[in-house]
Amino acid sequence: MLALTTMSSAQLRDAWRAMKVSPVPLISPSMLRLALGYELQAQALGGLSRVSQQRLAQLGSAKTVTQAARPGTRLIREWNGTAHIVTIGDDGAIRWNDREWRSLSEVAREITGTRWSGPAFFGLKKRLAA
Amino acid sequence: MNRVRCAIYTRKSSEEGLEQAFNSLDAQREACAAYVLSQASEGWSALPEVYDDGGLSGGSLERPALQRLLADIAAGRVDIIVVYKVDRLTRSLLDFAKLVEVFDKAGVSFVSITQSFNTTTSMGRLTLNMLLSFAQFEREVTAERIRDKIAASKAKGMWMGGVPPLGYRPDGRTLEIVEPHANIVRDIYRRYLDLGNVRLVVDQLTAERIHTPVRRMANGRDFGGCAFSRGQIYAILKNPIYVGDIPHRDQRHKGLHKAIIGQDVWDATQTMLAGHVPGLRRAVNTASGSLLAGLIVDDAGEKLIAAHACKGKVRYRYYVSHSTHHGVSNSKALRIPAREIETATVEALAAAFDDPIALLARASIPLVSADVTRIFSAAGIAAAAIRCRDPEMLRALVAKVIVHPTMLQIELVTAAMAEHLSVATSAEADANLLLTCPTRLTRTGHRLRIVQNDGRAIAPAPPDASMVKLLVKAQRWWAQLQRGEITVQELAQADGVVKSYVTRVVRLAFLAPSIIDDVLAGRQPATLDAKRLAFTADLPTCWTEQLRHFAIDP
Repeated sequence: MLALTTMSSAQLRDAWRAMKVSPVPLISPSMLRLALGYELQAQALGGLSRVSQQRLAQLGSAKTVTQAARPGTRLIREWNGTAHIVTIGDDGAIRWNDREWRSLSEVAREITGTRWSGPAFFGLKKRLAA
Repeated sequence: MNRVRCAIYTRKSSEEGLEQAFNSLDAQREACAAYVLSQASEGWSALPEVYDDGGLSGGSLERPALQRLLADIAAGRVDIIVVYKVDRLTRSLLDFAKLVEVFDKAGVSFVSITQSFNTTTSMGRLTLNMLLSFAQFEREVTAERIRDKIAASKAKGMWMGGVPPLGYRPDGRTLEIVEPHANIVRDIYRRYLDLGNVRLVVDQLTAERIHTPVRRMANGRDFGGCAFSRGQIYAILKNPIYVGDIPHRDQRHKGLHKAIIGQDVWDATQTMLAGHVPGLRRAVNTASGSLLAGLIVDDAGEKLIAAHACKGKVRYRYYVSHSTHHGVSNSKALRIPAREIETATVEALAAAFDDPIALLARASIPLVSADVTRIFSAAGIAAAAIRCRDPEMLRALVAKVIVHPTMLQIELVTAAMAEHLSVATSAEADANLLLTCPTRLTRTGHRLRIVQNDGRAIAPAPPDASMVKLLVKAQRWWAQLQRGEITVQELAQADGVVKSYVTRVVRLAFLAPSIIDDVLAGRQPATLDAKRLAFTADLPTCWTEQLRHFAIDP
């Protein structure tokens, strides 16, 4: 990180090539320094969470919007004539069939037998009006 | 010799005598034609078209023949307009100025055969203007005279014309009762006093097929014969003619005609109508009423006023220092967004009700162990109602909200609280109970926000749309740049923005993930907004430094 501040433009580009497979972006050295700094920290500390990445992508495409399942919510979904009730505990845990699940998608898959987006299956994901 | 085409224009205001074989219009026309003939040596010849306006006032230009004449002038078919007197053309100075302008443009002059002047000279124009000033004066005086006469006649109780109200027919300068129609009117008054509702009266009349009687107007046309409308019934119930008066503007005079209904019926009807005026919408009913209006003060005891600003359909509510609102500048003045302080108050209150035993202990109300379950369920219901912002309940519970720089104090009415917990208050309990809620006021730009002590907004605000937009833009641009095929300059051009803007925004793709998480969840510090995000001079590379830069606790 410290070395970044003293690197020349060429060195920065070499560092980028060494670290990423992508071509060097056509940007100023100072921005490349920022980008490299981000990549280094992301490698060490972990980058943007999957949830945030998905959220940004969703906001960018502006086609759908997904509500978060807030603690204390009860989600009801009818499937083949049976109503399935999923409770989101106050601690955020997903409970269904007297068991805790890691994600809504997992529950949706258990109910339908196929891969479904959990938020879509339980009506948390809505299509935005065109 | 040039042929001069003359158009003869005639006009008469009243229709009196127009039916005669040789009327005033013919007389005017004949005189004008004779004048044109006398000028035959000058090449004048009268056009065969007849421009006659019978029964039309000189006060307006909306006269068919005049409009026809103006069209012909515009088409270049006329050289001179011949009139009997100037006021045949118009009596209004303003209209005259307009006409002269049109004439000048078309190169048309006009001749008044009994008043000799020449509009091509300045003296002629002056004479004409004076003449028309008098014509207009005369017209206005006439109008005043007529208005005065109508007022004086009505003061004497005379009927001054128009469509007579149902139940009467005109009889000279007064009205005579038409008995079968008058019975309908009496019936309507009686039904209204019975039912007390105009809509029901209309329904009844329609069901019984009682329709408006067919009457004949002065011009021979018939009207009526259809169902009564609500407006008609209101008009009948409010018409003072039926009690023997003649209305004139906002006055009422004793009329010469006989009344159809008695004074007692009239009075009862008017009282009933006045009592049924729909009420005004109260602040309590509005969706975005200010919950704490009249209850909130600052730490110096100065009242904060519920105020709002509108932008389109959105209402931004605030509580503003009384002095500031009334134009006194004061450096300590407050202007707090209403939603935040209301949420803080509601949350503090609800939290107090979540722990009813502690609340009762603080109010020194003794607790009976048998009551505990009942109190807990009552407290749960009360807390839920508070969280739903039930305005009546909150206004009963809260005596005062005091805004301090570091905290919010809520004076809770002990009696109301005890009532909601269904316990009896004790003699030694204080009238009010003080709840405190640690908050502080932070300035964001010119806006004062109330924030929790860790610097995060109290109200779980929705994510800031402009900041989220910036982050999305940053991600999109960085994804494009990362392909290494496009320069910042080209990117800016393609998106129609300046290069420096792209540079500033793209940097936001390198923000620490925790900052992005906070912005997306709407829990960034109150001091962080889109402007601050996009205009930070030197964004640090290091994430911890970034957090420090935006005053976020790591």
